[in-house]
Amino acid sequence: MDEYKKVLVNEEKTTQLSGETILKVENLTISFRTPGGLVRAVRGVDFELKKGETLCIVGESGSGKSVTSRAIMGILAGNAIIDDGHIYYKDLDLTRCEEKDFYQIRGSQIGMIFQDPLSSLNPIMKIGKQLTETLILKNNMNKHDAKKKALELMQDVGIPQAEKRYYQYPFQFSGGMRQRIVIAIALAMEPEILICDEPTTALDVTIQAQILDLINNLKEKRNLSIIFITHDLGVVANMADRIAVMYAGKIVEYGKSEEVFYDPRHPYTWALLESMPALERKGRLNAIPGTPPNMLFPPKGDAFAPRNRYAMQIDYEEHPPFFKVSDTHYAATWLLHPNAPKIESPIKDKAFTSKMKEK
Amino acid sequence: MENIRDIDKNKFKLIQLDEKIHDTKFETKAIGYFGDALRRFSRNKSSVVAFIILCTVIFLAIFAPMVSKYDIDKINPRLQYLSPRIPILEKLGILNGYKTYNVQVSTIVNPEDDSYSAAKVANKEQYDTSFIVKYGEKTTIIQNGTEYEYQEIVYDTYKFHAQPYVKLNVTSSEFERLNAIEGAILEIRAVKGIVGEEAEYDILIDPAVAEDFSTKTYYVFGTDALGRDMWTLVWKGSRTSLIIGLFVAVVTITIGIIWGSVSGYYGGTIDLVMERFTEVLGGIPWLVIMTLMKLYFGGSVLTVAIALVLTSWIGTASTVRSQFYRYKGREYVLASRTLGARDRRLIFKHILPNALGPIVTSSVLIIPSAIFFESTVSYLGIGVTSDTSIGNLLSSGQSLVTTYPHLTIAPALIISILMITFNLFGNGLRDALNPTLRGVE
Amino acid sequence: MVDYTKGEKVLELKNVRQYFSSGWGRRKVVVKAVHNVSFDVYKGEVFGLVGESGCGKTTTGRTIIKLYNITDGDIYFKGQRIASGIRGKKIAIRRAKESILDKKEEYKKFIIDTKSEMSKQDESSNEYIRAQEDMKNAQEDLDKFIEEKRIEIGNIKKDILRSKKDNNPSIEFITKMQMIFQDPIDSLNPRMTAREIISEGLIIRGEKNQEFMTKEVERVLGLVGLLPEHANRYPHEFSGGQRQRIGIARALIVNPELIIADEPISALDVSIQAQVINLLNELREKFELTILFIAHNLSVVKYFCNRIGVMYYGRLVEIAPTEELFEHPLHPYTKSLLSAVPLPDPDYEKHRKRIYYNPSLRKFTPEKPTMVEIVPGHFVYGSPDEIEVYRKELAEKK
Repeated sequence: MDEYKKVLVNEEKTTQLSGETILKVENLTISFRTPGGLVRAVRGVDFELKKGETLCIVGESGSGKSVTSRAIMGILAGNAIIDDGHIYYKDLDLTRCEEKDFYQIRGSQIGMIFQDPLSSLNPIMKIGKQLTETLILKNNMNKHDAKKKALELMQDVGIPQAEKRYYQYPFQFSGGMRQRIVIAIALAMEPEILICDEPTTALDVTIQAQILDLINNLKEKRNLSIIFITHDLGVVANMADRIAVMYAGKIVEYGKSEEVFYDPRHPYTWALLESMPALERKGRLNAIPGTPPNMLFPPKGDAFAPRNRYAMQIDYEEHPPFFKVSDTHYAATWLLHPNAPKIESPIKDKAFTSKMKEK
Repeated sequence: MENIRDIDKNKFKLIQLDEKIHDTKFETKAIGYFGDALRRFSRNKSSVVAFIILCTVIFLAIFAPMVSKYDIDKINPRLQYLSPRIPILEKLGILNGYKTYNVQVSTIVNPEDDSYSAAKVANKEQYDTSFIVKYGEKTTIIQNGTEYEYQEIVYDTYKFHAQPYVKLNVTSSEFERLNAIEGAILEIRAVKGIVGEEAEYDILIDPAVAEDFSTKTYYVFGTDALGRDMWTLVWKGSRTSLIIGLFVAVVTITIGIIWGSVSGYYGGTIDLVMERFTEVLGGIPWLVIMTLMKLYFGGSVLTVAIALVLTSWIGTASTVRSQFYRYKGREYVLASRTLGARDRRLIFKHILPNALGPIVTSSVLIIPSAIFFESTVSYLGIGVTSDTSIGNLLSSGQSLVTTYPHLTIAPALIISILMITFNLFGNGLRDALNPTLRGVE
Repeated sequence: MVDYTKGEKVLELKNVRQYFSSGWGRRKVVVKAVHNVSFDVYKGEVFGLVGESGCGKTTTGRTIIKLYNITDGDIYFKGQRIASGIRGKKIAIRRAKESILDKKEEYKKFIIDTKSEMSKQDESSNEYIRAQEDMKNAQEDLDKFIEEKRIEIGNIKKDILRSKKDNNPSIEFITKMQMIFQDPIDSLNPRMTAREIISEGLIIRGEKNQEFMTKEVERVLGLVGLLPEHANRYPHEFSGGQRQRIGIARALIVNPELIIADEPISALDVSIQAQVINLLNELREKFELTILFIAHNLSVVKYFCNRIGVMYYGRLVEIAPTEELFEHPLHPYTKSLLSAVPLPDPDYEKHRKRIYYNPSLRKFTPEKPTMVEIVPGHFVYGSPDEIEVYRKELAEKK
C-alpha cells in the first residue's frame, strides 16, 4: 500500500472528503480517439457517492454513463483520453493512478458487475474456481479456506445446492443464476463500493426483480455504497437513493430519488418520465423524438435542445449552468432562470401517482 | 460566463413548441464495407509494406525473364558456377565475382579447365595469373601415400573466364561464323579432317569478342551448373511458382465454396454425407497423391498444380462450411426468408458477402503454402521436372551448398520473401476484413 | 379499448406443437418448445403474447411465419390453411398399424385356444359346432376390423398429402404476413445499404423499375420518421432505434396485413421504446394492420395490446382482453408476472411485494387441464378443480 502514496493529491486542493462522501467526481472530461475524429463522450461531470447509499446514473445509450463508471475502475478503452477532471477516492485521485495502483483498488475496494452475464464469466472455467481466484491471488488464502468463503458467498446470493454447483460450468446456469455468480465474485473481496453497469438489462422482468432484490439485500447486509447505471426508470425507482440524469456527456439533473421523480425540472427528465409506459398510467405515450447528438460534433448550447419541446433561443447558444431547486436538488436548464417562462411539469397533468397529485 | 442575470430576455422565448421534430441528418460521410476495410488495412504498416514488396516481386517475376539479355535456353558449361557480381556493390568488396578456392599446387595455373591444362602442357607456355587476387595458406594432405600440396587462392572468376581460351572440336559452320567476326579467332591450333565441310577445328578464342563475355559482364546472382544466369532462372522459377500458387488458389476456392456452401447451407443428412466423404479423402497422405500423379502424368506444372488442389480444397471447404453455419441463422437471413427469398438469393446476396472475410484470407494464405509445397516436392524430385521452379533450383544447388553457396542463396531468398510477404499480407487482410474489429484502434 | 373479436379472424392457431429433436435412438432429445397452443387473432387488433424467455413465444411467432416446419397442429391465415403438422397423423398411422397387428395376435391366440378346445371335444357335439361358428365369426370380425383400419389409414394419408400441399402457399399470399425481429443489429445485413435492405421485398417479387423502388423506399422511410438521405447509409451508422425503424420499413414495403413483432423493443433503450411503439400504433391505424406482439415486458404490452395471451413453458395459461387481464388476473403465473413489473414511482417500488409462482404446488388430478372460457373472452388453463377456484375468485372480485 505504500506505493500509491505517490499519487496523493497535492495539499493545495482541499480534498478531504466529508465524513459521509466516499467517492467524489469533479469535472470529469473524457474523449475517444476514433478514425472519424475525437468523440467527446463525457464533458465535465460532477457527482458524489455517500456511504451506504445507492446513486443511480440514468441515461440513454451514448450518454456517457458507462464511460464514467469505467473511468472510476480504470478500465477505459485504449483510445480513451481523460482530458480533465478528478476522481477522488480515499486519498487518491483515480484519474492520475497507474495500472499497478488500480490493482489494489479493483475488487478489494471497488467492485463492478456488467450487463451481459454470459460474457462476464469464463466459459471454460468452473465457477468455483472463478470465485476463489481473487481470494487466493489477493488475499493469499489457501484453497480450503477460499472454498469455504466461496460457498458462503454462493449461499448469500441465493444459489441453491451450492456444494454441487460449485463444480459446474457457467453454461449449466441460467441467465439470472449467472448474474448472481457475477455478483458473488464482485463481492468476494468485500469491496465497499459496487458499480453495477446495467446488470439487469439483458434479463427478463421476473429475473430482473429477483436480482434487484438481491442487490438491495446485500447492500443492507454489507453496508455497500452502490453506483447503479441504467436506462430504465422503473429500476431506478426501485434502487435509488439519489439520481443523476445524464444526457450527451453531461449531468442534466441531480437530486434525491423522490425529488427527481415527483418534482422533475429538466425537460429531458420530463420526457423520460413521459415516455415510460407504467402500469398505472393511462393515455398515449409521449416518445422523445429524434436521436441523441453525434458526440463527434458536440452541440454548442444545451445538447437536448433539438429534441426539446420547451427549447428557447438561449438553449442553442449557451449551455445552462446548474440551478438550485433545493439543497439536494439541482437541474441544468435555462427554464429555471428567473427570466424564463414558467412551465409546469407535464407529468403533473397525467395524474401519475397520488404523490404527484399532492404536489 | 458573465452575470447570468444580464442575458437578453428575448432569448427566453419558446421556439419549438409545435414543430414536429425529425431525425437529424448524418454529418459524417457514408463508408461502406470495403472502404472501411481498406482504411483498416492501410493502418497496418507491416501489411502495407509487405504488399508493396509482394507487388515488386510479382512484377519482377513477370517481366525480368522477358527483358533479360541472357538466354537461359542456351547452355554454356564453360561459364558454370560464376559468383554473383553486382555493379555498384562490387566496389564495396562484396558480390564482386570473387571466389575462394583451394587449388592443388601443381595445377595452380589452371584450376578447373582440363583443356586448358592440356593446351598449356602441350604448348609449354606461361599463362597470365592476374586473375588471382590473393594468396592464402598452404595446406598439405596425404592421400594414398602421396603428398598433395594445396594453396588457397581468391580469384576473380570473371577475369578468369575473360581470358582467351582454346575451344576444341569446333564445327565448320561454327568456324565460319566466328571467322566472320573480327578479332574473335586469335589462333587456329589444330585442324582435323578436310578443310571445307567436315573439318573440326581447335581454335583460340577471345571471349570478349566471340561470346560477348568480358570483365564487364555482370551476373547478378551468378550462374548455375550449365552456365545460365541465376537471376533470370530465379525469376522464371518464381513465375512458375506464382502461377501454380494462383491456379491452386483460384481452383481451390471455387471448389471449396461450392462444396462448403452446399454442405453448410443445407445441413442435416446432406452435410453428414459430404463431411464423411471429405474425411475419407482428407485421410489420404499427400505424398502418395503426388507420387502417383507424377508417375502417371509426368512432372509438368499442371500436374503439380492439380495435385496441390486435391490436397487443399478440403481446408477451404471446411472454412466455408463453418462460415455458412455461422451466418445462416442470422436474423437478416431469416428476415429475407420471410420476404420470400429463395435459397440462391440467401446464399449469394446475404450469407456469402458476409462470410467472405475468412474465406478471402484463407485463400490468400493458400498461395504461399502452395508455393512452398511445390518447392518441397520439386526438391524431393516428385514435383515439377519439365520446367524451372524454385524447388528445382534449390534441389540442384543443394549438393554444392558449401562450394557454391550462391546457387541456393538466391532461390532461398526469393521464396522466403514470397512466403513472408504473402503471410503478412494475408494477416493484414484478415484483420481488415474482420467486421468485429470495426472501431477498435 | 376497442373489441375486435366480432370481426373476421386473420390468424387461427389450432393445437400447434413445435418440437425440436436432436440425436437418434437412445440419445434422442426432444425439446417441446410449443406444446399445444391455440388462439385466434382478429382483424385490426393487437394481440400480445407474453412470457419469460424460454416460454416458446418466439418459437410460436417463427412457426406462424413458417421459419420452422410445424410439428403438429394447423395454422390458418385469412381462412386459408398455411401450415399443417403431420407428426400427430404419423403417430395415428403407426397406432392403427399396431392395432391391426395386435388384433391379429389376438385372433391367432383365439384360434389356437379354440382349436385345442375343439380337439378335446367330439365332432358332432354342440360345443364343437359352436366353436366352429365362433372361429368363423372371429375371422369375419378380424377382416372387418382390418378393413376399417385400412380405410382409416388411407384417410390419414390423404390428410397428410393435403397438409403437405397446404404447407406451400404462394409467395404473394404468405408475404402478406411480415415479421419484425428483436435484435436491431442482427436483423440488418451489415453489407447492404438501408435502401437495399428495405427494397428487398420488392426485388424478390421481381420488381425491376429502379425509379419505382426509389420512390417506394422514400415513401416508407418517411412513414417511419427517417429522411430520404438516410437510404444510402449502412446499418452500423444508425442508432438502435433507427435500425429497428428500418426493419419496420422493410416489412411495410410489401403492404402486409399481419405483422408479427418479435420483441421489437426489448433491445432498445426505454426512451426509444416509446418511439417505436408509437410508430407501430400509427402504422396500424393508417394501414388497418393486425399485429401479433411478442414481448416479455408487461407494461409496454398494456399500452399497445387489445388482448393478451400469457405463455409459460410452451403452453398458454391465460388469454384475456388487456384491461380484464390486468384487473383480474386469474392464473397464478399471470399474477406472478404482473407483480414483477417495476413502476417509475419510488414510493410504490419500495413497498412492492413480489408474488412467486411455484408450479410444483399444483395438485395433480386425473383429468387433464384444458383452456376454459370462464367469462366471455377470458380463458384460463387449468384442471376442473382449479377452474372452479378461479370462477369463485372472479365472482368475488366483481
